[in-house]
Amino acid sequence: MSFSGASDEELIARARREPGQTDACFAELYRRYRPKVAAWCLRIAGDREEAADVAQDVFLRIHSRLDSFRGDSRFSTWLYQVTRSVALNRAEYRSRRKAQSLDEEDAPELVDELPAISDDLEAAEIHARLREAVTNDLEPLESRVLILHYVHGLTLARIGALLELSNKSGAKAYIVSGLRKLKGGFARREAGHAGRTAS
Amino acid sequence: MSRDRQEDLFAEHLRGAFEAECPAPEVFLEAEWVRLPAAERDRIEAHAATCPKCAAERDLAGLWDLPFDVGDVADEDLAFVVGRIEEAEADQAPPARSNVVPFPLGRTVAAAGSVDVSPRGSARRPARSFPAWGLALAALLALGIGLLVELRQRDLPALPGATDGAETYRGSTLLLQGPDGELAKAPEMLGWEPVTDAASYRVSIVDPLGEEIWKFEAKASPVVLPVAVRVRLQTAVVYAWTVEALDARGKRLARAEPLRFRIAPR
Repeated sequence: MSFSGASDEELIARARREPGQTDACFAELYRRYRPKVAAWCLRIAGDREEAADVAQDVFLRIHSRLDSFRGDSRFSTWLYQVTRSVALNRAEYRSRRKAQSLDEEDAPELVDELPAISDDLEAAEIHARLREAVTNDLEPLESRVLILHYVHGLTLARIGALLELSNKSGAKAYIVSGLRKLKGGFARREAGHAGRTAS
Repeated sequence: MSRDRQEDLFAEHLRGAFEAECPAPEVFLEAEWVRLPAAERDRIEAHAATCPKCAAERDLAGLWDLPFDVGDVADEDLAFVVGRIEEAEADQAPPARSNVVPFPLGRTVAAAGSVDVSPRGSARRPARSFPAWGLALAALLALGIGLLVELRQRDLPALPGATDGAETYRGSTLLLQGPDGELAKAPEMLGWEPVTDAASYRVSIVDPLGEEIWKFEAKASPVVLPVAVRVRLQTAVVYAWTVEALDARGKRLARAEPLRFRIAPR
């Protein structure tokens, strides 16, 4: 069986069956997936230096974690899990670091729109209300943009490219409008909850 | 509360708001999605229809499923990132490439026995002790000497120097230009001399096992090798390429003697 003609699963099986071939099998898998990982990182990071850093981290990670791959899932799925985790953790970190250096003109505008969350509420209650507000009050595109930015840490520019937003201010417009709606909806729900509790 | 802390707290809550009910992100990969039972797919669909986090995960998974060489990724950027991955791998340890075929074409190096040059081995283990290194060095030396002796005995032609199109070689009836010989990096173009009355040219590259890894019908020389092919070319592996000249009806007018090239090992 040639390496290049074998499926991922055949390579994994051969690597486990023939220890002497393990490295060659994984070398073939790496060769096969380098472009895929590189392209995904480029699409997420948008900047090739950042994408290269992420992709390098991914492959260093899989080098050190190959033993943890049990073969229960497809290799490509496992690789996606590793790639996604590495990339998004970095993206989140970068996004926060970037937020610290945002223009003074922009930063207060976004922060002012964040919903006021009471310290008295339990986390589970906050989550339930946020989920309800996001699901009911926001347009689907607004909520996707919010999640991609705040949960996954993608920059506004990358979100604009990913979702092919053609409006002038791109993802930022959806962030601002989404947060405004969320803030209003969250406050209404909190007021309603307070009213019900008082009565 | 500081601005950063406010944003962090909001992000934390937003993440928490959707965490409990959402399926694993990888279920949105095409390969996983099609394996799910229909009922499970329906359940996830119903959830995802109203869940922005899953909508976002679907976006991310969709990017993974996209072919890497579609237009939204520039060839140069892809090659740059792939190059950096290879550098990282080389820094870890050179992976054993059993399909690496040294010159002459078709002859393989004998198995390295107990010499472990794997990335897995090097990632797991501390530095080897001296006796292990000594054995490894001796095995490599023996291997190198053996290969040298064999090459001499068979009186095989040496690999020509890199030409990259600067020099012309004579084929049977069609003259191929570079790439030929040992190259510092993956070739970007394949060139040949035009043939009178040729309407098109069929270009192909085969790997050492004779499998065609790329073919293309060109109107004229040279052709640019797509980055999707360039990134698949491995170092130290010998590839052969050739061109056929075709007339307007697709009949072969001439065929070049294949040229061989390899990308120099790091």
